[in-house]
Amino acid sequence: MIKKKENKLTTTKTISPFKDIKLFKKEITDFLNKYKSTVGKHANRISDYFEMSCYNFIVKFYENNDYDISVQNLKSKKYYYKCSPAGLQSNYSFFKVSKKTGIKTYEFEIQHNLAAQSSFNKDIFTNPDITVIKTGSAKTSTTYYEINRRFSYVENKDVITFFEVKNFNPYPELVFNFIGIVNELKKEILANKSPSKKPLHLAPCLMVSGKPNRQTQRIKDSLEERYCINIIYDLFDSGVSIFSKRRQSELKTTGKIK
Amino acid sequence: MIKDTPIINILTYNLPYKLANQIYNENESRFSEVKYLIDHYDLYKPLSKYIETVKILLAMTIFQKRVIANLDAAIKFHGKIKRYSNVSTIKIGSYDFTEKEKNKLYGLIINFNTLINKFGIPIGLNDYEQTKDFLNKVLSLLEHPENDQEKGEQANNNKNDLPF
Repeated sequence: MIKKKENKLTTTKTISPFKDIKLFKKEITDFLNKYKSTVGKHANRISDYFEMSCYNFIVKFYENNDYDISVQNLKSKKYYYKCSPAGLQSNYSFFKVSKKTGIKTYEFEIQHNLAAQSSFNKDIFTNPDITVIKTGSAKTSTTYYEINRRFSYVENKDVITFFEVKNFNPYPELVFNFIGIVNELKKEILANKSPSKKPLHLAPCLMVSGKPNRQTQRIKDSLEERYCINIIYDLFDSGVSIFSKRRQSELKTTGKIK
Repeated sequence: MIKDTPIINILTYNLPYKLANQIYNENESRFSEVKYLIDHYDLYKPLSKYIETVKILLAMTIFQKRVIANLDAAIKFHGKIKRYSNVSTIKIGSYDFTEKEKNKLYGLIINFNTLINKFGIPIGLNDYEQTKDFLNKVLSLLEHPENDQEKGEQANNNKNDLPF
């Protein structure tokens, strides 16, 4: 019975796109006509979906490292995804990761678009796309804006690591700008004096969807050699495998470069 | 009517301007390279007869990377939330990404994969950095016995004439 099935699979004939181009184009057109409303409806959210994909990889890293995972702050049986820096953090959902080592349980939150305090000046903030913070450390201030509007942020000491997500092809300025954010939030990394956080966390990452050219690849190699950071390109193709259990050791975790 | 419309226009129809523009520009720039490589290097000469197919394959890979892969990412994130909670709706701004919406996207992905399988296109065809890498993959596809054996052999003989 199984053998018959296998035979059926191996004998499936394909149509050559080189021989029947009219049929090839017609099939693509039919596919797009069938799904044009679905594609059109979701196309406006493509960048959000890419950010979701990166968030997924980060959760996967914690899964691979035996953290317990849970989803927090669900409202009306919905996961409220924070897709911009605006809005109060308490109104949005997030993943919580925890790990027990010995008698101590460490708990962290993976937050979307949360303002993080600078390591130089308490009054300035930047918004990494994804931030891992100590649990319950997201705060609200009413003095940030001139009007009496609430502002969500996390103090610099509570930021464990962060991730910048870019859905386009890498270019030199983009990669160097990331070093500016690292300097603002984790200046100790640039001096190679960053303490390693236990349990295991990824070092700050720049996650880019596009493939690098030679120049941006050289920049990545050079920066990763100097600083404890990860620059990950090509997240829709070969870049994905870096988050697999087999290859995750290639990613840097928080701490110093040896 | 259909045959006169460039494939890139068909693929970007109904997409937001910014996304459509990114896809269109990448396609234009890469297709210029494709034409140059095919015209100037013997290795790629076998593809000159099939320039229309190469054009469609190129546009498809760009669409796959910039649209299909992102839609697939939304499905995976939905799956992750469902795995760790009893919730099946993601609220993105004012939009509810429900189980039903996820299933529609899932149907789209399955149909897209069926389409590329039907024409024997390998899933990894869109995994290229430089345009010559894409052309090498298209050459391999052409070499496949079900496509054009004669041209495939010709391509094999020209392998020493690598452009880079």
